[in-house]
Amino acid sequence: MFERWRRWLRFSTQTARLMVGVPDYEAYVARRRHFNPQAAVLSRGEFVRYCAQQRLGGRGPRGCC
Amino acid sequence: MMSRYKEGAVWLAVALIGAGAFAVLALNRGETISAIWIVVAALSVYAIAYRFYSRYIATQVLQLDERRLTPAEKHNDGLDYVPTNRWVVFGHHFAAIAGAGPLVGPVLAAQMGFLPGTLWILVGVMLAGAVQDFLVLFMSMRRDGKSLGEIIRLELGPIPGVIASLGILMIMVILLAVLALVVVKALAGSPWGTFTISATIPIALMMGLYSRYVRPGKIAEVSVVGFILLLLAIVVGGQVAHSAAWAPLFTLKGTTLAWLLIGYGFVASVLPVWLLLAPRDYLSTFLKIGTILSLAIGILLVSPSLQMPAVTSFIDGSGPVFSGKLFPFLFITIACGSVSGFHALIASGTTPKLIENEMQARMIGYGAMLMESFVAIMALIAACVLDPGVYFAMNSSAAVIGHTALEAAHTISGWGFAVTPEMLTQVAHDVGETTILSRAGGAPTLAVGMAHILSRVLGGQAMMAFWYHFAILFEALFILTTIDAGTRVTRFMIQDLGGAFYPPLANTESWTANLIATGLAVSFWGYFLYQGVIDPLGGINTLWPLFGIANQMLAGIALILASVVLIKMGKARYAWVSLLPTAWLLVVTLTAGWQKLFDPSPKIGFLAHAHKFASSAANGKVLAPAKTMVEMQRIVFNDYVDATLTAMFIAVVLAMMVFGVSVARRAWSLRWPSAKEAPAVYRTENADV
Repeated sequence: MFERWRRWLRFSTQTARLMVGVPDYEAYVARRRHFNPQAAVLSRGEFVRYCAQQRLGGRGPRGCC
Repeated sequence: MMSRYKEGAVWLAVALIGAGAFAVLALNRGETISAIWIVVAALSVYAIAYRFYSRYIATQVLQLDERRLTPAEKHNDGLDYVPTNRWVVFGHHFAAIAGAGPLVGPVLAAQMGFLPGTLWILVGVMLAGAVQDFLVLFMSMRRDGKSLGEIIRLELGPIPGVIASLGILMIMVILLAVLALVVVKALAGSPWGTFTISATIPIALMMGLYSRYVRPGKIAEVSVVGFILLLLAIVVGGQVAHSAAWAPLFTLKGTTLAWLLIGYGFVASVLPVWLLLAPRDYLSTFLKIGTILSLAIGILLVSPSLQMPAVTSFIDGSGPVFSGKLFPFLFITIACGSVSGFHALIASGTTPKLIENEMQARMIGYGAMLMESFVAIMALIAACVLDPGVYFAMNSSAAVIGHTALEAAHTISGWGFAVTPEMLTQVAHDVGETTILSRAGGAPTLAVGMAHILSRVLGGQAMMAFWYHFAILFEALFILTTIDAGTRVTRFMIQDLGGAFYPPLANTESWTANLIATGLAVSFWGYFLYQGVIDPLGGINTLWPLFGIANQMLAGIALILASVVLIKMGKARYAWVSLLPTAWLLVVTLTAGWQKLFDPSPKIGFLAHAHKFASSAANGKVLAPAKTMVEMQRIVFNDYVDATLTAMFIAVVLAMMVFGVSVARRAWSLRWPSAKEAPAVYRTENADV
């Protein structure tokens, strides 16, 4: 029961974050280190800023209606 | 075997319930009916369209292949390309397509009654809007997540690519102008609203600094803090409105607000994204989703009754909200919610880079658009549960209904919608405003409608003003986000297109080039905004049809592209799926464009309007609202600008049609598929990718 709630919570957090253009940070780190455990990764803050820039910086379309 | 019968029976029941709801809506005359019937009719249409039509498109037309790797899987970097759970992507995509459009269009269209709008929203989304979103998502997904512009260049050629980019640029300009105008209309002479919206700027800046230097990456935390501050701003706004010292400071004229917005657009769009835009984006996105959800719950709980008649006499084109007959103007007034070209830009944006399996494109492309359509239905309901007298008082310009509640009530009652001056002042008082007259643009009407519904769920009459200003805040907030982000998009488009003629402009490293391009972007939309603010007919009357034509034109372009691609894939016999909505959109946009240009009535045709003012000026007579000869000349000039823009939209559509037909004919004569998809890579079991 508790486990189910935790999964649901994680899931909604993920959705809410992606709604503002930020994918899962842990998944990103896991992906970067998939082949090379020492691979350099962006910090959490840099990651969020990078995503905001991609989403809102004006390159690439953005929804309005 | 048994289960097949059972399934058939279930779908038959869904169809019958839907048909029953439609019968109630269409046949009931004279008595008020519950808005729930619209909800029931809509849900059954969505269910049937999704189950049968989208499945047909997915399996027969597009033949989605679950073994084929998606861009997210092929290029997975955890950052831009991320295979993501389909429900999460659905949420993302829905949040990206839902915005101001589905909320404004249906409110304006309510002047013709609730039935025409409802029917167009439902039929449009089923056969045009959701199909377009799905097809564009599919095309982009098969091409490594390329954007609409890139796909047009790839499949139709470089010249159509440039033409389409020009078209998109014009749409951006009109969109930003019309959205800014919605904000101006909502805030003019409203100290409460103006204070609340101004307060969002320091709140967002604080959030930006907090997430940059104090707790980076904590989105939820900073959003909650921001949300609480927003609620506080609404409460303080109420105090400001009642304070003799503060209220005048925030009571601004439309023209002042327009200049402030233009200045804001310039400054905000050159600041770093993390400082103002990103936190504003958090607030507006979460607030948007939350408000949509609460409106849905509100409608279900309250089940308000529809006060607006099913069909009003204004289908003949004499309506005060926008001029023009039901055909073609209803079909360009409601764009988002039925079919919106803008979605073609979004469906070819980040969404195709997130999908983890091709099969899910159906649910995300077609499904999310159905949900968006439901938002439009809710907006229509919110407008139609208001007393029609109040609705028309809010949405007609002062030139039509006069400046006082007495005059307005008299005029509107003359149209057959009984209303007293006391009712109009009472509503204004309830929502904490001095007047509600001539607040065109959809947002205030929707806000009153929402306040009407939500105050019955929570807070009662006493909370009405709070809910009204909450709704205004929510709309203004995401419109300001759009103005900021949209100005950036426009700036890059200007740099790309302008760079072809003057290369230094394309240098995005140069501050001079960037500032010049930003200045151009702001002055383009600022020009139309200002013109809209001083327009005697209220501006929305002129700008919304222009935006509608532009947006539907973009949908037309996207669907032309989809039809050509289907033919290039060797699926010509299925091409009707996109040719059908293409044909309809072309008929609608070209007719509307033609009427906006050449209609003999000055209320509809730009040229007729210009002629009326020019000939009067030649006789030395000044026509209202102009006060001087200079203003007369300016009105004539503006009419010619609008006419030129309309002509350009028509030219863009026709050019795309010609290019589309020629490419399709060449593809038709080939015996093999010629669509330029990224090479297919197939999923293998246990592969470590």
